[in-house]
Amino acid sequence: MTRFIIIRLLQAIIAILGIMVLVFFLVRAAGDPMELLKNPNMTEEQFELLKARLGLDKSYAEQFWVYIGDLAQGDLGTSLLKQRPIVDMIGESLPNTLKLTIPSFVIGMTLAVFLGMMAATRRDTFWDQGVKFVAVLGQALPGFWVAIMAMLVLSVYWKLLPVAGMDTPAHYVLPVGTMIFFMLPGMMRLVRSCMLDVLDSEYIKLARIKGLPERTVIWKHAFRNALITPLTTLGLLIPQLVLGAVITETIFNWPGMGRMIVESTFARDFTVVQAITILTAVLVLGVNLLVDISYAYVDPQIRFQRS
Amino acid sequence: MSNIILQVENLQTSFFTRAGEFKAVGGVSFIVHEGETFGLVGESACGKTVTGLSLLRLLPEPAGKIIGGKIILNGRNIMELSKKEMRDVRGTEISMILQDPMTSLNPVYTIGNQIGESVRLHQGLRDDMVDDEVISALRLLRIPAPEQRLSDYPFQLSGGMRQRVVGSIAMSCRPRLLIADEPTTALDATIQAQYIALFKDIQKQTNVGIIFITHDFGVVANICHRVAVMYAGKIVETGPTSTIFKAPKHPYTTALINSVPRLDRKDDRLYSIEGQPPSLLNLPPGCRFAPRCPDVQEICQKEQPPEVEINEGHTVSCWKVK
Amino acid sequence: MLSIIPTIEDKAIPKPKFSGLSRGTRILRGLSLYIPATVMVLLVLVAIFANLAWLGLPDVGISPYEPNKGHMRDRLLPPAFMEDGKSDYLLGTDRLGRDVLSRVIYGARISLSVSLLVILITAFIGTLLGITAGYIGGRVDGLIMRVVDVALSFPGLILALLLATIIGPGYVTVVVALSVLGWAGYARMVRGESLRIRQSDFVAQARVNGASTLRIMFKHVFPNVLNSLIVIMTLMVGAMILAESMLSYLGIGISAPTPSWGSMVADGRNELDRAWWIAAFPGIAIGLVVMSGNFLGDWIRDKMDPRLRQL
Repeated sequence: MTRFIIIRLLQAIIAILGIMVLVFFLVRAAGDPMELLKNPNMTEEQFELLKARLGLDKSYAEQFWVYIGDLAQGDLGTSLLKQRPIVDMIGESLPNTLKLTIPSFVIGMTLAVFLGMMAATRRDTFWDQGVKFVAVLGQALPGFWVAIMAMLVLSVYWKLLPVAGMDTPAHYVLPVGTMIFFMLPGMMRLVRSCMLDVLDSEYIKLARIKGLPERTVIWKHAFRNALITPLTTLGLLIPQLVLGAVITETIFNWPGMGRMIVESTFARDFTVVQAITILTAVLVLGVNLLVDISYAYVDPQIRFQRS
Repeated sequence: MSNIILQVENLQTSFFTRAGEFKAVGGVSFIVHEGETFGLVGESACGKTVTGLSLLRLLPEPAGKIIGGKIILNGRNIMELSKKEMRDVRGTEISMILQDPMTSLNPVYTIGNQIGESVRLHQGLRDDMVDDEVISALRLLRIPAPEQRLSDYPFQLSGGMRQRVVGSIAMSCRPRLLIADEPTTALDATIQAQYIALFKDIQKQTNVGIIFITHDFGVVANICHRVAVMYAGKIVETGPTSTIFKAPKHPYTTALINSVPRLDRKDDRLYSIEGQPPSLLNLPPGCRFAPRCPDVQEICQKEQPPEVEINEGHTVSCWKVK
Repeated sequence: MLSIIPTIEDKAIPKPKFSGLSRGTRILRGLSLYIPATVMVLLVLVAIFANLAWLGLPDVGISPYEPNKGHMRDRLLPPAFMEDGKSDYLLGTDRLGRDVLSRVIYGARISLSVSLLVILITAFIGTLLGITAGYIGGRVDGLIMRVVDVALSFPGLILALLLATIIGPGYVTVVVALSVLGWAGYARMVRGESLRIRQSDFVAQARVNGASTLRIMFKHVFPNVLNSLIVIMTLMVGAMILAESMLSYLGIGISAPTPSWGSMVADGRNELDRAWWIAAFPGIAIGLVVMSGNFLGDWIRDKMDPRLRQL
C-alpha cells in the first residue's frame, strides 16, 4: 500500500513539472508576451526598461529557471496589471472562493447522493420522476442563464434576495444555488444509475435471502458498492467545480479566484493566468492522487493487488 | 425420511408485465421431508427457479406475485406471515443457494462479515461467539483453514470455494429447508462431484431437507431421493428417483430420460423432443405438453389432466394414466 | 455432466413485447424521438438559411434583420406579444436596437459550427489515440491513459482562459480550447472497445493471415468502434453547444458584434431590470437545443448500443 502511494506521488510530481514547462513555454510560444502589454505611449526605451525590471529581458531558458527557483520558494510572480505579488492576490481571493465552494460542494454532493439513492430505491415514483426531470433540465439549461433568470425573479421582481455582496447569509443563497446547479444533475444521475445496477446483483438477492431488513440491504450492502464508481469520478468533478466557480463569481461579482483569473485574462496579465494554471494542475493531480488512494480503501481488490 | 417440513399446495405465481400475465407457476404441489433431497427438474424457463423464489416470497416486485396456493413450512402457512415475520423465517427456517458463485458474494466485505451477518441477525450472539459460529459454519462446508478465511475477501477465493462460502451462509443458522438453485451448474465437472458429496454429508449431519433445482439428470440420479418433473409451470410427474428413471409414466419424463445420451445404448441419432415449450402468456387450454406429446389424445387438448397416484409416492398428471 | 436439451435462457422477468402497449404509450414513445429530431433539423435549417449570402444572395434569408445593425430609435423594445412591443421585432430589441430574433437565428450558426467542428476534431484525435492504446496495449496504453486521466480532470476553462490571454478571444480560441482536452473522453471509450475487439476471433484470424497491426486497426477495429463512436458524437452536440455558450458568456468566445447565444445572455445581464428578453431568449434557445440533442443522442444510443447506458 505504501509503495502504491509513493509511486503515484512520484508520477504526480513528474506530471506537475511537465505541466510547468508546458505552460511556461506555451505562454511564450505565440510570441513575446510582453508585446501584449505594449502601451502605444511608451517609447522603445521605456519598454525595454520595463522588461528589465520585470526580469523578462533574459532568454526564455533563463527566465524558466528563475521561475522554478521562485516557485520553490513559494513566489508565484508578480501581477503585471496590479503590480502586486500574486501570492498576496491569491491570499485575498482564495478564502472568498472557498466560502462559496465548500458549502456548495458539501450541500450539493450530499443532496446528489441522497436524491440519487431515493430515485433508485423508489423507482417510478415521484422521487424517481422528479430526479430524472431535474437531471434533464440541469444538463440542458446553461448554468449562467438559470442564475440570471433566478436573479431576475428573486432579486429584481420579488426583491427577496440581494443582487451583490457577501455580507449576510441571504447573499449566499443565489451563488451557492448556482454552484449546486452545476454539480447536482450529473452526480445525481450517476448515483442513481450505479445504485440501480447494484440492486440487480446476485449478492443483493442473497442479502434478502438471509432475511436482512431492507434498510440493511440498501445501506450496508448496496450503498457502498454503488459509491465505488462515483468516487472514482470525483476527479472529473474538478472541471465542473471550476466552471461553476468562475461563472458564479462572474455573475455575482464575487471577489474570488474565479473573478480574478477572468479579469487577468482580459487584461492580458499573463503572469497571473500562468500561475493559476499551474496551481490548477497541482490541484488536479493532487485530487486524482487522493481519489486513487481512497479508492484502494473502498475496493479491497486494488489494495491487495498492489502489495 | 420422517417428518414433513414443507407442504406446497397448488402454488401459483405469475408475473404481470406490460405484455400481459406470465403464468410462471400454474398450480404446483409437493412435499419435502426432513433429511430428504427433493429434486425439481425441467427445461429452462419451466418455472423451477420461480418456485424456489416463491417459497422464500422473494419474487421481483412489483411484477412477480404469488396469486394462489398454500406454502406450509414447519406447520405454518408462510403466505399469511407479515413482511417482518417472513424475514425472520428467511435464513433460520429456510434458506437458498444461488447459481453463480462469482457474483453471489458482496465484493467489499470479508467472508467473516458476510457469514457473521446472518448469525448476528438471527441468533443475537455476542461478537466473540459470532466468530465461533462462523468458523463452525465454514467447517461444515469443509472449507480448509476456516480461521484464516474470516478476513479474506471473495475475490481471493476460487469459484468452488466461493460456492462453499455461499453454502456456509445458507447453513449458518441451521435451517430446516435448503433450496439449492442449480448450485453445480457453474462449477467444473471435477468440483461438482466433490460438492455433491459435500451436500450429502451435510444432510447426514444436520438432517436438513434439500430442494435441489437443476436441469441435469445426472446430478439428480446422484443426489435426489425423490424428484418432480416440471413442464411449463406445472409438475407432470413426481416420485422416487429410481422409479422415475426406470419406469417413467409421463411422456415428457420418458422423452427427457431418453434424450440423455448413454454409453450402453447404441443410438444413431440423438433423441430430441419436437417443438418448443408454450409461451407462458398464452397457454393452451388442455394439457400443456399436448402440442408436443407423441401419445396425445383428444381429451388432452381440451382439459388438463388431474394428478393421479399410481403407487406409493409416485404421482402423474397424464390422461394416459387412469 | 449429461443434461437435457437446453432452450432459451432462464429469465425471471420476460421482456415485454410492444404489441401489448396502449396507444397512449406508443404515442409518447414516438414523441420522444420526433420532437427532438424536429428541433435539431430546424436548428440546422435555421443556421444554414439564416441568410443566403453563401449562395450569393446576401439579402435573402430567414432572419428578418441584419444581426449586427441596430436602429437606435428602436432600442430596448419588448417582444411583440407584450404591450409596448412592436410587431416588427418579434422577440424585442437590445440596447443597440438590434433585433433579438435575428441575433438568435445567427447565433445558431455559431453554436452549430463550433460544436460540429470541435466534435470532428476531437473524435478524430480521440479515436486514433484510443485504438492505438487499446489495440497495442502495454506501455503505450498506460501512457496514453494517464494523459487521458489528466485531460479529463483538468478544467478546460482554465486552459481556455490561458489561451485567451495569449491569443485573445475569438472563434479559433474556442475551438482550440475545446479540442485540446475534448478528445480524452473519446479516447477512453474507444480504448475500451478496442481492448474488447482485440480479443475477438476475427482479429485473431486476421493476424493468422499475416495482416499488419496498422491494417488490423483500420480494417477490423475501427469499423467495430464506429457504432459507439457515433453515439458519443451525437451526445456531444449538446455538451459542445453548452461549452461554447459558457465561454462566450465569459467573453472569451466569439467576439462582438457577432452574436453568440452565450454572449447575448451576458449582454442581457446588464439590462436585466429593464429588458429581460435580451438574456431570456438566447438561454431558452440553448436549453431547447441541448435538451433535444440529448434526447436524440439517447434514442440513437438505445438503438445502436444499449451497453453504453451508463453514459
